[in-house]
Order: sequence, then structure tokens, then C-alpha cells
Amino acid sequence: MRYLWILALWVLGAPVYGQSKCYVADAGTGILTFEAITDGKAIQGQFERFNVDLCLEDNDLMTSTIEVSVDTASANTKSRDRDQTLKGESFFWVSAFPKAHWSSGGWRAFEGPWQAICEGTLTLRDVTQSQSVTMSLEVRGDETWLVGEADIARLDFNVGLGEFEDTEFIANQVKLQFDLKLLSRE
Amino acid sequence: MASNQLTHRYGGVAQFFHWSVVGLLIFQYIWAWRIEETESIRLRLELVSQHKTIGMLVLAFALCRLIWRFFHAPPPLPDALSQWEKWAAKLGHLALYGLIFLLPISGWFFSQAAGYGDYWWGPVSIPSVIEPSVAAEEFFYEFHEIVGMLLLVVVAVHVLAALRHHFILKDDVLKRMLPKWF
Repeated sequence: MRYLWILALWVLGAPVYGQSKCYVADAGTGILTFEAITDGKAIQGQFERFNVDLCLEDNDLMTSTIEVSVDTASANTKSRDRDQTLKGESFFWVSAFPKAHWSSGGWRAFEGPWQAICEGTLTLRDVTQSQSVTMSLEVRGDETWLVGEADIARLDFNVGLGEFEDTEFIANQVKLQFDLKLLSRE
Repeated sequence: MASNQLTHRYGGVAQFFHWSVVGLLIFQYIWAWRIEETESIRLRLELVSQHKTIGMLVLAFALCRLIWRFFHAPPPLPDALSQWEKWAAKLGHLALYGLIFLLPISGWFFSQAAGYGDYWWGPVSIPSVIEPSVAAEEFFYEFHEIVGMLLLVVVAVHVLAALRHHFILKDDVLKRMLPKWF
């Protein structure tokens, strides 16, 4: 009888406490691109290996906790020479810092093209500091997509040192964009 | 039109294209050497950008020169030359034109295969004709280098032949490509 009560409370309580759901995404289900201005011209690239874990309540983005891990050696700008430079000590220094991490923090509604802005924490190379990301959850048919963007000040994370520090040559702001199909985590 | 043949000189326009291409090619070889030598990645990118721009200018000038030549026949070679010398001269000029066209075109393809972008200085873009790929990058890099070396050899023969005409045969073949006041 006691177990029946517990079961009844669990069934009744579920809508009250909300339904938590977790998703994953990676390069197989979406894209994570970046654009840097070099010598006045836009250079586009994308990361070919990354993982996203997202858990949220009642499909409300602002309840989400998100963890992103990016394999920085997977940066692909369709130029072997440039990609090799990106792996080097002056940029991502992949031999010492193979991964970049972003963890979500506080959320607030965002007025504009995106639903919300999240003040998270980015660890890139040897620097950890706050990094905001704007994003939205989109339902496309029976699929849920996470889309958004971030402007990263590369020099805050020691990306592009030495002769690349001159922002006349490589602009400090690098635009990151993502479009990820979320798959339910079993 | 007849004035070229009467004076046995190339016209001013033909001379302009000829000597412009000479000057630009000298610049290109110096820049190619600097690109290979520099250790600064930033400087290399700037030099490559300039090398590409001048390369496209060489292609444009060579094209103009060829079109001009269709409508303005070059002055005839001296009658004193033997048949094989006339054929050698034709073959030499054919090789020069072919290599001067191939050099910038192979550089253009290499640049696109290597993902260096398809732009000149400024906003002018050149259409993409091939997708970036390592195999194409390696092929066109080698091809560009070989064509560059071949052009150096053919230019050396061209210059030596012109000097032979001027100093040994003492004819006006070299002077035909020099301004009247020279």
C-alpha cells in the first residue's frame, strides 16, 4: 500500500516539477563554424569534432545546462597551410591544449533574433573567463535544433600571439555560429 | 599598320606590353624567392597576396599582347636568317607565350587548391574554378614551379638569341623591340 502512494505521488508530481530532458549533439548532427577577418577579408572555417550535452526542463531553454567540448585541432578552413598555423603555438596550441570547453551559467531573455543569452564560461588554451552566447531552440518538424552565435575576443584567450596580435591584420572579434540537431540522450 | 613593317620595329603598344611583362616577371621571381625565404607567416601572406595580384596582371598583359599581335603583325625577321633560325625563333616565341600563360594560370589554380582565396588586392574577386584539395594543391604547386623554371630557361635562350643578333650578326632584331630614340 505504501508503495502505491509513492507511485501515485510520483505520477502526480511529475508535471509539477517539470520534465527534465537531455540531449546530445556533435559534428554528425550539426555545424559549429567560425569567421575571422584577416587582412580585411572574411575567413570561414568549422570545427569537425565537438560534443554538446544539454539538459533542460519542459523544453524551456532558460533552464538549460549546457556543456560543450571542442577539439581545436579539428579546425578546418579549407587551407592546409592555414589549418597547420591554427594548430601552432601562436593560435590554439593544440599539443598543449587540445580541447576548448564552454559551460553554461546564468540565463536571461534576449530581445532580438535569439531567445536567450547565456553567460557561460569558456576555457580556451590557458585562459578561463566568462563568455556569453546567444541562442534559440527551434522545432523543425519533429526535430529540435539549437542555433545561436557568440562573438569571441580572441586576444582575451591568447589566440593569435606574436605577429598575429595586430588587430589590423586579424580582427580581434571572431564570430562563432552553430546549428545543431539535438538527439535525445538515452 | 604598315608603319611597323616599314620601320622594322614593333609598335609602341606591343613594346609596352612586352617590357611591362618583363618587368612584372622580374618582380614575380623576386617575390617567389622572398615567399620561400621568409619565416614570418604574416609577411608570407602579404607577399603571396601581392604575387597573386601581379600574376593576374601578367596574365592580363600577355592576353592583351596576344590580341594586339593578331591585329598588328610583327615585323618580319631579317632575310639573312636561315630557315631553321626562323623556325627556332617561332618556336621560342610560342614557348614564351605558352609558359607566360601557364605560369599565372597554374599559380591561380594552386592558390585556389590551397585555399588561399580568390582575390586580388582590393575588392576584385576572381571566380573559383577548382575546390581546395591536398592532391590538387600539391600538383599545381609542382606544376607552377616547373613552369617557372622552364620559363627562366626559355627567357635565357631568348635573351642570348637577341644578344647574338645584336653583337654577332649585327642585325636589327634586338632594336625592333626598343623605342626609336634608343
